[in-house]
Amino acid sequence: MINEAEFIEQLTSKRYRDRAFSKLLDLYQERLYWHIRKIVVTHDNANDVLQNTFLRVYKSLPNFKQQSSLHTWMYKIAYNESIRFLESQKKRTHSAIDEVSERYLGSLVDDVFFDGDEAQLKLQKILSELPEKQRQVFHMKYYDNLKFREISDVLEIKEGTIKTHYYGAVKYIEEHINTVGYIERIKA
Amino acid sequence: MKQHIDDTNETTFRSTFDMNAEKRHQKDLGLKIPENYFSQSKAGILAMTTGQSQEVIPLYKRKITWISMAATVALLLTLAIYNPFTKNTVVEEDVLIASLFTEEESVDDFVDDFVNDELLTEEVFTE
Repeated sequence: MINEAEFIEQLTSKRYRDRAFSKLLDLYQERLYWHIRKIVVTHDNANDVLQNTFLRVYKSLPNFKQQSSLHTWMYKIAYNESIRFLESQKKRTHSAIDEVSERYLGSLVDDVFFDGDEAQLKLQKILSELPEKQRQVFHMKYYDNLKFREISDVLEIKEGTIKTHYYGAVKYIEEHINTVGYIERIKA
Repeated sequence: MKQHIDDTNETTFRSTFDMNAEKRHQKDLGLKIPENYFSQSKAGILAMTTGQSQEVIPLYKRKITWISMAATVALLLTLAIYNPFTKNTVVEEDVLIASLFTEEESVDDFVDDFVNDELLTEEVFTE
């Protein structure tokens, strides 16, 4: 067993770096993929952003100051890469990030890696109607199991505001969806 | 926050880690992934990081090598000689601009060689 500081030391040492980075991928690849996928929606886009995220992580590790946990730091990079991707789409199409996100949602049904039924599509639509920050907070809290404190670090927003975003999202979803079991789970 | 990782493949790196993330995303949101995606993705990322770097260097950051300089000059000269739609004055300006990025001596050498090898030879054959 090694602690995080020792693991980071391995990640930044020439001798152990490659092996430690492989371990880092085992630990975080899947979690970061789902985090990214919920922002950029389609699998192909998520795949691109995931690669960019780990490239940036690899390059930035020597400069990691350990002011936050490795976990939070990587989520922050993944989030920033996802937003950067959406902004590049925004520049290309001259539309707002929310509009880009909604447009992707529109194309979700054409994605071969989406096989949602009517209820799942309805939930996706409701989530897409949330303001961007509310949606991201809801995803990070409910699906990624991040703590409010960690979401606050990733988004650089006060913890109280994060809670307001989350409960605002839950309320909106509650008012607009009647999928059996979902409301009970998000309120749990 | 201190987190502990196991040095083996078994890990309890973070207590909130959701082992059923894939099922949950598929069940609630209808999102799925290609078969063996994560193992293939890991191999790809490792190849780009710990393996051979496949980073794309933007054009403006690339160093100008003698090959690219020579290729630029050759292209400009070819256009100047063979392109009937381009006015010579414009090409001369381009050559002038290109020459600003190269060593004057190497441009002179290249032009001399080109004139000797291509143009003079061509003239000899056509006589």
